[in-house]
This record gives sequence, structure tokens and C-alpha cells, in this order.
Amino acid sequence: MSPLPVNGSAGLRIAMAQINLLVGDVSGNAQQIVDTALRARDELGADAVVFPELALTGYPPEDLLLRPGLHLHVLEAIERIKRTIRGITMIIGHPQQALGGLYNAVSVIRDGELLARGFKQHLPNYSVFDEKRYFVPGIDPCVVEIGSIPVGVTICEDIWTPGPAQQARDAGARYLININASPFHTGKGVEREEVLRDRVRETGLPILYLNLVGGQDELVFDGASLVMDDGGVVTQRGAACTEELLLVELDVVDGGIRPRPVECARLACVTTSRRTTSTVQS
Amino acid sequence: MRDYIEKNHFHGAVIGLSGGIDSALTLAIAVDAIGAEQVEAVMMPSRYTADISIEDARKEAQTLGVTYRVIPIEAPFSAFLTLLQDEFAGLAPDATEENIQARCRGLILMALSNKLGRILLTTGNKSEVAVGYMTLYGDMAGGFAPIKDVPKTLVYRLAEYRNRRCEVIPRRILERSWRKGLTRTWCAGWPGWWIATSTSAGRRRQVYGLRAAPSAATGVIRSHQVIWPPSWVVVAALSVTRIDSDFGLSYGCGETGTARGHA
Repeated sequence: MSPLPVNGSAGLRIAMAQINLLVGDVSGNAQQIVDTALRARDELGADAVVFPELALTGYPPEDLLLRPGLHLHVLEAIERIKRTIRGITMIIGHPQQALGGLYNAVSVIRDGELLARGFKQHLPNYSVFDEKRYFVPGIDPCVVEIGSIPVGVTICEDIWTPGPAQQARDAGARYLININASPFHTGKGVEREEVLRDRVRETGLPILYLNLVGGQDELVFDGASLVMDDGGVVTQRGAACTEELLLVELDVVDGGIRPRPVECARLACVTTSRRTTSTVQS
Repeated sequence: MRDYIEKNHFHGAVIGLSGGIDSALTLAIAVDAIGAEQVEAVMMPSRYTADISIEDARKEAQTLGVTYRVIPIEAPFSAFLTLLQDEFAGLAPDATEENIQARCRGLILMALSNKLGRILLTTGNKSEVAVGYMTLYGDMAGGFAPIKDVPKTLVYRLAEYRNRRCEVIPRRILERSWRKGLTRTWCAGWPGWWIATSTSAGRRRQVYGLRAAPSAATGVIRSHQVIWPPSWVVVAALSVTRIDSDFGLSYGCGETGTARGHA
């Protein structure tokens, strides 16, 4: 692998898929992930595409996670995605059964191979969350090279405390990707930015914060993804409550990673017709 | 709202319009979410319903372009009163009779929801839910409550905001802070304190709900006594703190009607 230039383009384009998924519809969500990945690769020229927390099951799956059949569907879906997509790295949230129990996981997949897998460490169990009912916590960072640049991949709550981000930095990450299913409440956007700014201050690493979009019972996932550089400046924002594919290009500036928005490349995602056709059929 | 309706394969929504601000706001939200063709409004007047309520509800439905039905509830209401007259013999009319009306409406709305495949939207706001100013199986009926986490003061602000985009909620609905047939309630406050006063319309028993500091339980004050002509009842002042960063003081509502708190 060629070393990174001290200054210049790192040659890496990352698409952030702020999309609306359907809780329980694993095969439908997998199809939406495949379609979005193809658009990111072919229309945006992305090298990698990032999907939200538990994208395969939707969020929150709640007691569906207690059904063994769900995990078979998830395994099948991951295999299908691995077989189908080539030429782009995919970062996908999903539940993962392992020896220690069930994890809230993220897989990094490229060309049919699993490059890395991470497990969520901090499981929120307050307010609308009850992740401890289903999951066991991970303990290790997930750092993987995408286009020769090591990235730390974290899940949602893990960015709200310093530990996982610092772990990832110590393991060599040059920037962070945080995948989320973060529900909206008044003032949440400001809270998110403050938390991210704290992590940036502690680690010196830019952060790509991707959030889910859509309504699920009384929860509203408002999207509003954002990209924050190593100075704590928000360089790019996703729309609120709208599906979108945002494209970020990574530059190297004085040896550090600087994310740059590719504003002209922002695709509106239209949810696949599975919902509307179902309405007509019923 | 759109996602809840579409992800559950409903053929749109139905809403009971009272001529009040909560149902008016809910209707506007529903039309913005899923389009006028997918929303139906139903007005169910009783012998006590003011003409202006029906007019305001009709005006909003026409402005928004939604299908609009009027189904008077006098017949079922009278039938229930007749049915229960032996059981209620010797007992004074009270909130029971009001609740029967509300439940007639709830039944009609759910029947329409079932028959048409449209989800019934509940119009209750957070202040009502907090103090129990709702009727079980009546105006609480419905499959989704879009403003259940919205305090009453924010309901008014949201309605004003929506009207700034283009006026769909009749101005008269926004300006009415009490309903005919109920007593008027005023409240005033300054940081930390909130007092509610009400003129009684012959009722001796009035219930006021007050949200206190987040760590305290919701306070409910009952006054059984008319203190002084002309029937003013002064509710003891309670210390309240900011519970909503947008608003400062919290809002209270009671049996006699609803009132806005002042920050």
C-alpha cells in the first residue's frame, strides 16, 4: 500500500446513507442497502458507503431480537450482500450472535469478505432505550483500513463517552465513523454537536456521524447526519427527516485527515416502493 | 406520522374535529404528512356544541381540501341516557354525561376507522394527558397520538407557526382560550410561581392540574368550596420551575377549560 501524501487528496470518497428502514423487514432492508450501495458506487463514485446502526433489522427491533428466526434472516442477508456487491466497502449495522451473547454490531464488508467487525460497548438503557435487555457489551475497538487509511468505527452511544473514541485513536484510527439510530427530541441537534466536539477535542480526529431517518412508533429518527473536522467545525450536514446520500471526500492536510463535502453529489433517496405497493395490495 | 401510517399499511387517516385547537393542529399535521386526499374529518355535534365550533371546523376542512362529514350524536346520546335512566335514578348529572358524549364520538370514529381502513388520530396534548383531562374510550380513542408529547402552550405556538406558512387554522380557533358552556380560567405567572383563578359557572367542584418541578409529581388541586362572590376561586400558588426550555413556566388545564400560562 502506498503511503499517504502529507498534503493532498487521500483519494477516498465516503457516502453516508441517511435512509429510512423498516423494523423487522430484514430482506427489504437488505435490498434497500444493496440498491443504495450501487447508487453510491455508480452515481457518486464512492469508495465506501456507511449505513445506520442495526440497519438490517431497523431500530429499535425490541423483542424481535429474542426470536431465533430473525438472526437466521440477518445471516442470510449479510451473505447476500457480500455476494452481490463488489467494488465498494460497506459499513452496516446489524445484530450479531457470538459466543458471548448477542451484540449490537457493525460489519465492514468489501468484495465478499468481512474486513472487520465491531461490537457496541456502551448499551443505553434509559428513556426510550433498553439495549441491555438484548445485548452484551463489546470491549474492543474496531479499526480497519479503508483505502489505506485506518478508520475507527463506533456505534451510537459509544461516541457519547470518551472511551471508545480514544481506544480507536490508540489503535491507530486517523478518523472516526459513528453509525447511529438516534431519536429526535427538542435540542438534540445541539447536544449531538457538543458531544462530537468533545470527542474531537479529546482525540484530534474528525468524525463522520451518520444517523437513521424515519418514524418508528413514537420515535422519530431525524437524520441530520453531520461531518465534523478535527477543529470541531461542522463541514457538512445532512437534511433533517429526509433520506439522503451525502458524499464526503477525505483530504490529507499536514498529515491529518480533513473531510471535504462534495456538495454537488448529494442524492435524494426515495424509499423503495415496497411500502406503497403493500398498501395497495391490502 | 406519515411513516406510522404507511409502514402499517393504513389507507390514510380520520380525525374528529371539535372546532378546538388540538384537533385543528392534528388535522393540519395529517394533511401535511400524507396529503388531503388521504385524510377525512368528522364533526360530531351534540346539543351543547356551539355553532362557531362547527363553522370553524368546516372552514379548516374546506381550506385544507379534506373530505368532511357531520354526524350528530344526539340520537345515541339520548339512547344511552334512556338506557341508563333506571341505573342513574336519584343521582345528579355530572361528568358522566359528558363522558357518554365523548364515548359516542369515540365509537363513531373507530367504526369509521375500521370500515374505511383509515387510522384514527387521537388529538390529545401533553397537558391533558398529564392531568387526566381526557375521557377513557372517548377522546382518547385512536391508533396514533401525534401531539401527545406537546404541551398546550406549544400547541398554540405550533398552530401559529403553521399558519405563518399559509393560513389553514381559522384565526378564531387560535383566539379562543375557553369554550362556551365551560367557565373561563385565567392564569398569570412570573418566574417560579403560577396562580390560576376561575369564575365558577355554578359548579362547586373544580379541578386544576399544575405541573411542578421535574422532580415532583404532577400537582392536582381540588377546590370544593366557592370562596367568595362572584364565585372566584383562588388556587394556591405553587412553585414551578422551568420544565421546557422553550417556554419557561408550565401550563395547567382543568375541568373548567384550558388556559395559557405566561412565562
